[in-house]
Amino acid sequence: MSPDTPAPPPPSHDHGAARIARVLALAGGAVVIGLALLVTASILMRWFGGAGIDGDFEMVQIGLALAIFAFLPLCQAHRGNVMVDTFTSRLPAGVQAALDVLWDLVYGAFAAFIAWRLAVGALEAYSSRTTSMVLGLPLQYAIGACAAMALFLALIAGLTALRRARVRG
Amino acid sequence: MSGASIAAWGFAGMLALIAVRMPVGLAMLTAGSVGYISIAGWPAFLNYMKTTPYFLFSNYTLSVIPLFILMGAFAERSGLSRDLFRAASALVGHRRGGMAMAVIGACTAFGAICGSSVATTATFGRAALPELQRYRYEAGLSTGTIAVGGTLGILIPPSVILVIYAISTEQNIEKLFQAALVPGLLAMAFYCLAIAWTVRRNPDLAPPHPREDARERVAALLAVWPVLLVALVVVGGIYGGVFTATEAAAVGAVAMLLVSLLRRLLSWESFKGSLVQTAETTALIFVILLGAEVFNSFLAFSQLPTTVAAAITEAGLAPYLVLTIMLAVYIVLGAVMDELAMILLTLPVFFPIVTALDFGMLPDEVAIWFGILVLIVVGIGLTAPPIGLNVFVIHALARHVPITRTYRGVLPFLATDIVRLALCVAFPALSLGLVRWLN
Repeated sequence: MSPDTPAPPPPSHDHGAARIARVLALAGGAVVIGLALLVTASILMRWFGGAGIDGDFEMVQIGLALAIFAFLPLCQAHRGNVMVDTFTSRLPAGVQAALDVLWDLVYGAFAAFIAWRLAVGALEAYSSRTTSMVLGLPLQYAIGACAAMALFLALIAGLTALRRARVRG
Repeated sequence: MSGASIAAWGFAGMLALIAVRMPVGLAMLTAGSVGYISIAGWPAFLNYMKTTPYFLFSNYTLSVIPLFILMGAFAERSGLSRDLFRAASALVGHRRGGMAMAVIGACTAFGAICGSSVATTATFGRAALPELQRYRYEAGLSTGTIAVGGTLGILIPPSVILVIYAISTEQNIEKLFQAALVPGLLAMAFYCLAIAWTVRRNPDLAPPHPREDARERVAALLAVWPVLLVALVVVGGIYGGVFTATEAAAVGAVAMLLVSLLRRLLSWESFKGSLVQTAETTALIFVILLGAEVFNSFLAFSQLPTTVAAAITEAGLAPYLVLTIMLAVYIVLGAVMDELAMILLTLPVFFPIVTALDFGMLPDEVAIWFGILVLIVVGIGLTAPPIGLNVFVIHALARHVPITRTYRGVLPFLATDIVRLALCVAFPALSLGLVRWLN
């Protein structure tokens, strides 16, 4: 099993798509901090003023989904996903690399598929006017944003496959 | 082909994919999707994937995972984990084996603000390993202690594994956190005993060194009060019923950020580093969650879990025999599989069986107790050969120590793990006592 942390040192200069993945992950992290502040503020208000912030629950839900989709591309760019290295470590390096390229492509295909399905889901949420319970926030924007980030994840997976294939040549 | 045999093929296919280096979450996703389509059909699968990834990730309870990881990342990046280790070594470091015990003590305190064993191992691998080497502690004892100490990150609540258990079995997270405390502290005590026993048999492993002077000791202890305060607020708040787990995680992350900023310990670069670390660790957990969700939906369609559960329940085996077999299965699986994936995949089958058995307790209590037992076996799987994630983490940080040496260092601790597991099986009150008392 190759663990995520300590992460393999990220490529010394991320460029292009990998840099966007990093910015996206930082934005997702900012969202998580924002959620932490929101929940904390809501608790403090409940203690001192009586009522918490309306709809903090559903803002956490929406924010969490956005943050997670924002995290996924960076994890792929840094090759962070957990895998189990058993007998394959004894295979020739070329075979190992070929397998890794293949799985990057499968992952990318899944990400593209999920992006497509989420886009359909977002359109349906739009036409059925699905909203959150308390605040009535329209959900299609959040689902649509997740679809876009899933598409970006597909791109990143394709690029990591390409880079790995080139390195091994 | 019957549902059950499709499910069996699904399992075999998933394990085969994992064996050929496919990432664990992706293997579950692939096998689960193929199985889902072959039982329920393509249109149903298209429909299922339209919203599942979004609604799975927008689960309020799951928000504790990134929040707790963020809190731990802030604590680590601002050097607060190193302070914890210094304080613990100021207290006991001069005793024989004391620096190793200080690692265990610091990991216990860190476990109260961090929910991940990998993060705890990596943190103390960086903070404590150089110190242990400076005091010429034997390499295997040092790396083994840190690998085992890392499991305290999940054994001491909060714990990512317990959050996942709570969600997949629909149990109360706060009660699970309460139940984990006494077994967690027991782990700490047993690990210190294991160190004492090891260094007594072979004193050369841990050369003693003189005690620091009183002023330095006091300074080291004073430096950690903010961290201990945050830990107390988080854990105490959950136990006292002041916070839900999510609220505690949010408050803890904000408090830890404030502590780091006020003490000027967190540079802009380390702040960004904390966010990146949170992103990567969280992402890999959620990829596995998505894979498990799809795979388990496929399993539910195949009706395999209910068939197996019914067969075992009807067989009329002794409850403790069934429980022992399950725990043995976990120990074997945990030795070769990712622990998170392991519990996500087995719980749909094991959980209904366990809660249907008669242990002379309420089903709710059995559910909580079983969660703690699962947590202990997960901890064992994280350090046991041939594949222990924590051992790999420490190996990545200390390449010069052969991995077999770390495994040898881990062995005495593993022996105490088995004893602790047996105690927790024999005396459910160890887990449930605090829950009953607090509720």
